[in-house]
Amino acid sequence: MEHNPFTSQHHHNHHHDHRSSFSLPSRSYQLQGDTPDMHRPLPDEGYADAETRSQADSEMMYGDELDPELLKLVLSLPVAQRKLLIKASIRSLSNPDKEAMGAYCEHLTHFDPAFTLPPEIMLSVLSYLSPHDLLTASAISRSWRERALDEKLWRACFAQEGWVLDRDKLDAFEELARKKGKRVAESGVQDTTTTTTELERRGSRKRKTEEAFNEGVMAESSGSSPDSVGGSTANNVSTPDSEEEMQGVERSLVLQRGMGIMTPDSPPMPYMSPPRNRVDMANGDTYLYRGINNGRRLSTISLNSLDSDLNYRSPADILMPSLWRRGVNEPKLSWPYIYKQRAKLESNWDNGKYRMFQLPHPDHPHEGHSECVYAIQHTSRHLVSGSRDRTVRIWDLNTGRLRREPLLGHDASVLCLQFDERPEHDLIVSGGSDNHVIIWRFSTGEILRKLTHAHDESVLNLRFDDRFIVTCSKDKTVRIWNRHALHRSDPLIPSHILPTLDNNHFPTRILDPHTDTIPAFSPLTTLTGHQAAVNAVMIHENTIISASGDRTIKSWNIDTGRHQKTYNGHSKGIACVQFDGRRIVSGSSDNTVRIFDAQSTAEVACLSGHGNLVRTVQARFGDLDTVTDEELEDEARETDRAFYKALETGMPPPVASRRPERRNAGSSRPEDVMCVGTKIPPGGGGSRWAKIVSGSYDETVIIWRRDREGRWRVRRTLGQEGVLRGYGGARRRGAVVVQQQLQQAGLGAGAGAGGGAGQPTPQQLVAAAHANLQQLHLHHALAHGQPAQPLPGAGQGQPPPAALVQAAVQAAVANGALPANGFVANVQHPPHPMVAAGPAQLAAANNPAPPPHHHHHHHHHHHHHHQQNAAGGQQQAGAAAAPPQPAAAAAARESNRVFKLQFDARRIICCSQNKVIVGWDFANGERELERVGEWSVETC
Amino acid sequence: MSATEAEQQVKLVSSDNVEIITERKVAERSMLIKNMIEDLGAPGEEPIPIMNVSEAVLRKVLEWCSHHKNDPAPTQDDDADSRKKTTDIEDWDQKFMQVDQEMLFEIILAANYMDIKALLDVGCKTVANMIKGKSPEEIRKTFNIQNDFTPEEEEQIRRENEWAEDR
Repeated sequence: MEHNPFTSQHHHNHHHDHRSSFSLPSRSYQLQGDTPDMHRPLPDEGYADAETRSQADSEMMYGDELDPELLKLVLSLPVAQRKLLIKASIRSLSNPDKEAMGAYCEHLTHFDPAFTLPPEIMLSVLSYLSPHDLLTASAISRSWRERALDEKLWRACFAQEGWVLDRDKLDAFEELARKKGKRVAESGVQDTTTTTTELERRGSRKRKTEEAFNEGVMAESSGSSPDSVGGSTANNVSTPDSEEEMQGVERSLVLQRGMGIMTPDSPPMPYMSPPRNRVDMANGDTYLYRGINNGRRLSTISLNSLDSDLNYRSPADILMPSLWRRGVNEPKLSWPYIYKQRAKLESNWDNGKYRMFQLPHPDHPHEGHSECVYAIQHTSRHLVSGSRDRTVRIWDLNTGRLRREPLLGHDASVLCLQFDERPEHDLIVSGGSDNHVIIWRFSTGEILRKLTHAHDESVLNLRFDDRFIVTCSKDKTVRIWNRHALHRSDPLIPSHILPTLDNNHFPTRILDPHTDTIPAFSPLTTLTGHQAAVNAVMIHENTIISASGDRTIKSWNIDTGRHQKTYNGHSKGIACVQFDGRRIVSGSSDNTVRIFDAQSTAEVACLSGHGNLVRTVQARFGDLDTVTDEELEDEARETDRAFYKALETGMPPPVASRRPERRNAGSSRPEDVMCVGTKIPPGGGGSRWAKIVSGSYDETVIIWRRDREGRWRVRRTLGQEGVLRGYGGARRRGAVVVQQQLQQAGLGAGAGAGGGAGQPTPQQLVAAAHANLQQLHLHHALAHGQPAQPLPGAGQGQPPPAALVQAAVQAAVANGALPANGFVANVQHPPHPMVAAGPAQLAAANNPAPPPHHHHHHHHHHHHHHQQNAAGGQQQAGAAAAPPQPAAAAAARESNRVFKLQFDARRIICCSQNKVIVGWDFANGERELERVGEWSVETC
Repeated sequence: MSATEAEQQVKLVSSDNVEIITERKVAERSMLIKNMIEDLGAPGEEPIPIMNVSEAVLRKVLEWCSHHKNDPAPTQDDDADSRKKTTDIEDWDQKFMQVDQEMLFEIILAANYMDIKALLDVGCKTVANMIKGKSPEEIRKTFNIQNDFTPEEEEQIRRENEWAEDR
């Protein structure tokens, strides 16, 4: 095709035909019957004289009265001649006319897609753009802005980030706005009774899909559908929203335009006819935009009567995305806006913008646990914690207050728990070092069921889904329980136990012969195979994942009860594990977090950054709903190909090495690749927002993010001191200094003895340190993975190693007078010395060994506890003269070894050896971010 | 469609009344034509009018169809909305799309009208690639778009979009 627009008049005309008949389906062209191009407003190029322009326009407008013979003659000339002729002709024109000719040429060679293409095709173009490019596009012109801020585009962008919102919460919010008005909804007065659904929705990709995408259906059914313009817009008009008068006006405007465009006797727009695009791309909003655009186009061409109607919209309304969608009848949330808030929330994570908070609320310290907290779980509104003080506590995260009295029922430390606050579930399951598992009703706190001696030893971890509770124990086993009564014909009964149902001796008869039913909470099966304590379990669909002190992770099939796979890699015992169906993420006493390909069992990443045991980890890969296993595998193959190619071109083959520096933290660079043939790419894949948060005995929480090469890197290290700083951080710093000085001075037991009359003796401290090791429960298990270093136990009366004594005493000394804890609760329960023995534990952890007798450890340390009550009493008296310390100052001087953490879109919350539960809120006090955080569903 | 059917010739008529004869298999890349042939029966006898697509554009579209006549049928998976969208275009298509803007948009409109999804996608991707990574001013220049924002509005939008700049 020739590029000079003047060379082919024929083609030019043909072009006009197209534009007026379908690409620009505006009545005005047909009605006016002249060439639309002439009417296009010319760019402002320094001449502002409207008179001159219209003169130029009119001259050009009558161009079609050019003598046909003359035109024919001109067109018959060779191109070179024609060019000369045109140049000469142009020179004869006035400057404004020259500019107009220039603009005209420009117009013949460049086309604004927002006008040239039907809206649905333009949307299809825009759907290929990143959010960043979409924002750029939105700044080009008004019509681009209206197209680029399309609801469906941004909903798709949102989903493509791997973000999911809780559809029920959005519905509740919109419902509130519908009933009480937008202002009430926005004011953030949350109706606590309406928000009923919550986070715990693991294991169902399908559900996630629905949540992310059923919006479209709803939008279309409530908005005006392009296929029934007349009907639905008429509907809208007949139900005006009393609160939104302006929208009512706008709707009727749309109706007029809509009717104008689509009246039965106006010919259909040919290029818009294929149904696919209309169904896919058009929805109520796009139709509305189409109407407005046509209106705008009209108004720029001739002063049209519609023009004044258009002006009712304030410029800000057009320009700024707001919480509510514009131009729809019902209050609907706006996706460009939601996307923006969600993105801001994520950038607060990356930029370390957060507010710390703590439980108990600083104003209500008496509500806190009186000893360290081992287990927490939270939703956007509630947090449930389990502590060494034997209680389970339910907190309201909005107020920071206890929801009810502490739940009493365990005879020893509460080590693990999970809860589901949704009314149809309404339960908490907790396990403890009393070997019991207790099922509580979340809403009332009552005990529904107590599974006494659920295991032979401490219940270290548990998980449940809609069907099963899975528990694991220091007794090296994993046990599966049914949540609901199961008739013997129920397919949920694992097939491998069916033959044993009538056997009176296996292991206990669980089937009630009268009803032929297995009652709820029966031990269905026990999985054995681990060589040491099982520290963590996960359940996902039909698979159970267990992590053990024997350094291995195992997968089991619930139905067959068989061990399926073993994941090796960690060089020491494993403390925590997570499984999302594709990758297994684990934290270990070898101080690393590792990611395994669940399918191939290969280790696809090893994250080094912690300085001590990684006790708790959560990963969120943020897979798109639509990502298939095949696509992930393709990504993995891609890496493999690059790897082999690099080998062919001379890269030295990798040498298997156990040295940590040879581990790959997830990089896809050929020289970093450690394994090929995996089902997931190095690092595990996932969206660009993929995130791992781990908590360690090094007292820190690390946020891991992936760099451009896919390598997991420490993005931020969080300490818990921050929350405590406001309450006495200076004192903590002082304490640390004292400790260091003592160590430098080589002061040991002697210095400790001089520490104060109220101090426990070194022997007591060592005993306490041992007890503390035992109450960690993991210790025994983890030690299995370590070279055996006999550590004589205090309980056996053998002399403790000097190092341990020294550390323990230093700890006591460093803390000054042992804490006169400011918590009201602790006036009745003086602090156990071991909570002040952090450094002693560190020392002990460096000389790890199985505790001498683990069977009755809790009795053991409770014995000490009582003993120390007396000592604590003395110490309390001794410290009475000292100035009162704020609660958190005392807490700050305790060890902050992180036991358990959980994050969602908005917060990280962790519990530690410290009694205080600490959180980081990345909404950072911004109401809008809090809101989007509350709506977010954080997937595993 | 049998082998003989595939080799059948069909007669298309452009908007400017030019008859173009092509292989049925090629023409049936267009769902519009495919459906018409199925509805009318007796392909090859009746000329098929392709309203509003000029000869020049129709020839160009058929060139694409001919090159892609053996492509697998498009999948019914229309959940494309939630998929990661790539603007990668295969080399041949990329060269095919190296036309002036007028023809580019004509091809897109024709692909839409003739219901050739793959071609429509290539066209949309081509336009998207003309937008990607550019500044608003560059995009305006590319498509000769008039900036109808006031300076105040532009400033307001710039501030509004600031949140995305630090990434």
